[in-house]
Amino acid sequence: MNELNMRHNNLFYFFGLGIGLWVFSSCALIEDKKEPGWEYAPQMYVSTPYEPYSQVSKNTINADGKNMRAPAPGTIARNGQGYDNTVLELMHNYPIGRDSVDYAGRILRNPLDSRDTTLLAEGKYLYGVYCAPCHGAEGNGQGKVGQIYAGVPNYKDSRIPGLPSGHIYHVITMGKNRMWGLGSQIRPEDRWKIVLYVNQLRGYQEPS
Amino acid sequence: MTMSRLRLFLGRGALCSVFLGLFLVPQLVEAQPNGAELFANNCASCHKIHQDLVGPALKGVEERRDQAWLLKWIRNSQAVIASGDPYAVKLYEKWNKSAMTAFDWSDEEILAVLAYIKEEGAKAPVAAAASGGAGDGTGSGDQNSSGFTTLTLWVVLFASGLILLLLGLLQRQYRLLYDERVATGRLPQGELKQFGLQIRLKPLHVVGGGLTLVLVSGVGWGVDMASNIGIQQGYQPTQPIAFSHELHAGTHEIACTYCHTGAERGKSATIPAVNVCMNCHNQIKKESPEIKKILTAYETNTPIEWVRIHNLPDFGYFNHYQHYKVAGIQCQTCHGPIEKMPEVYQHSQLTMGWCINCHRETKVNLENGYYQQVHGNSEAFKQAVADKGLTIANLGGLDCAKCHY
Repeated sequence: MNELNMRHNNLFYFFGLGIGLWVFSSCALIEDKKEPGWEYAPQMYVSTPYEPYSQVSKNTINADGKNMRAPAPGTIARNGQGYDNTVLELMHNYPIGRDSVDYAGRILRNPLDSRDTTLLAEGKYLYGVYCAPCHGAEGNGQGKVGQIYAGVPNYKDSRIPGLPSGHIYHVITMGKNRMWGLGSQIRPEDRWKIVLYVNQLRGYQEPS
Repeated sequence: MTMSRLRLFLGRGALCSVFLGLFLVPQLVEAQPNGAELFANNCASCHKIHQDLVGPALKGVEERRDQAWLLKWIRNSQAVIASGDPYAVKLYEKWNKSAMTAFDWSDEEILAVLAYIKEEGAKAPVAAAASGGAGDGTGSGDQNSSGFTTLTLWVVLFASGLILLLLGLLQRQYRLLYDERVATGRLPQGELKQFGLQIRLKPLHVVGGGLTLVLVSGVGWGVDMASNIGIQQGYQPTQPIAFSHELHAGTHEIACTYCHTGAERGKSATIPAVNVCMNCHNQIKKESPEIKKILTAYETNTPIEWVRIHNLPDFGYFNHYQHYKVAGIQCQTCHGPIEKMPEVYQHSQLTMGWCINCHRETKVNLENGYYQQVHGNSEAFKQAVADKGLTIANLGGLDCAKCHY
């Protein structure tokens, strides 16, 4: 073999090694997952106005340093889901205490039409999201979380089919016994939709 | 004659009794309350046979109290407590004053339930299945994934370079030895190939090769870095609490929107407030150190500072409601197999090309209020749309101002 060939061979090895190194180093870059990495122009990526969910530096105006702030107590949502045919204030500033479930059952009336199948279907969907983990898809209290949480009643239980709709609404909003209220997660209108579906599950007829 | 008559008589009698039995037995069974069913529907939510739950384990309850007391208690426990019965009061205090529901049952029904409890109590307890929830999300924070770090890689690389250099030097020594032997005539010339040696390393080669190596890898590294700037795919920061989506969304099948309620109605999918965690964790796994962080946050009213993973640039607008609720796109389409992630990472690239690609390919979802009510969604309309293959791009989904404004 001549000298030229040998040199080629030589370079070949080193090029191979170089490419190997490239692959290695790129792997090494991906490995570091704990950091978000670089950005071209951070001042364009980050919002200038305060955003509750994206904050890169301490907020100098709010005392706790967070952009996110709790609404003032007693704030009413602008889309106002009040129902004139029921007690309007009850929907927003829910003034009924947690233990006054019987009182709620007596005074609250479902503003939704229980014969509306669209509302019922929405209620079924919402029930699946918010209630079924504990109460089970069939309302038997045997949802996957319910089995661990324990103390979840069966809707077929002798007492439950007789409870008024307002009772169910109150329990969704404020909770009862071991159950905590889901008022912060579900809007008033959606709660009534869930009530419609729960009524179907437990075999309750709304008195006309 | 008498024998055959007797046989006839007996035969008819047997037949009659069978018929009678057929009528009577179901009625008897019906009249007999089913203890197991009553227990399952009314008691099981708060009581187990062998284990304490909301109320005490019921095994051997008849040995603890006599039947008359139990009848009174089951029908109206509050009345028994109010009557000042010391055992009842003690029981009430012991179980955090959780009032037992009053059951308006007949004696037979209560006895049937008690019989069922006795029967089940005699059996060995079934191994507590799925009581704690499989696998705890703790500790999965910083192991394996980041264990094989950049540093390790460079050390390996350096070591292999060193080995290569040593091998080169060794080869050189060998070569010199070989040349010397050929020169002194101890080895015949032309047997070089037997040793498989083709390369003759010279110092210039080593230096040149080394420079090439540095250059190529440097350029490679640079290109790689530059093309990855602004892409955070795979970003998996350590969160303040070792929360496992695999356990919650996967094993326990809790819907995404149970916690991320905002996806149903707004731009942000929202991070749940502490009280949402508390809905379940006021009872479940309270002893875990990770859960204790939630309890502390709840009690001191301080939000948990989760680290945001999906950082879309501010100049690109994105709305969860539009995608999740209107278009009916599953969370997993963009976020990947969240229900299999013990620790969440960014699954998609979240680059503009990635967005645009989806807008080009995705067919418009006609099953929402806009198409059903505004366009009537007639069969003819649907057919026309199906023929044309209406994509998001056709609706202006590629317009700059759709996302940049």
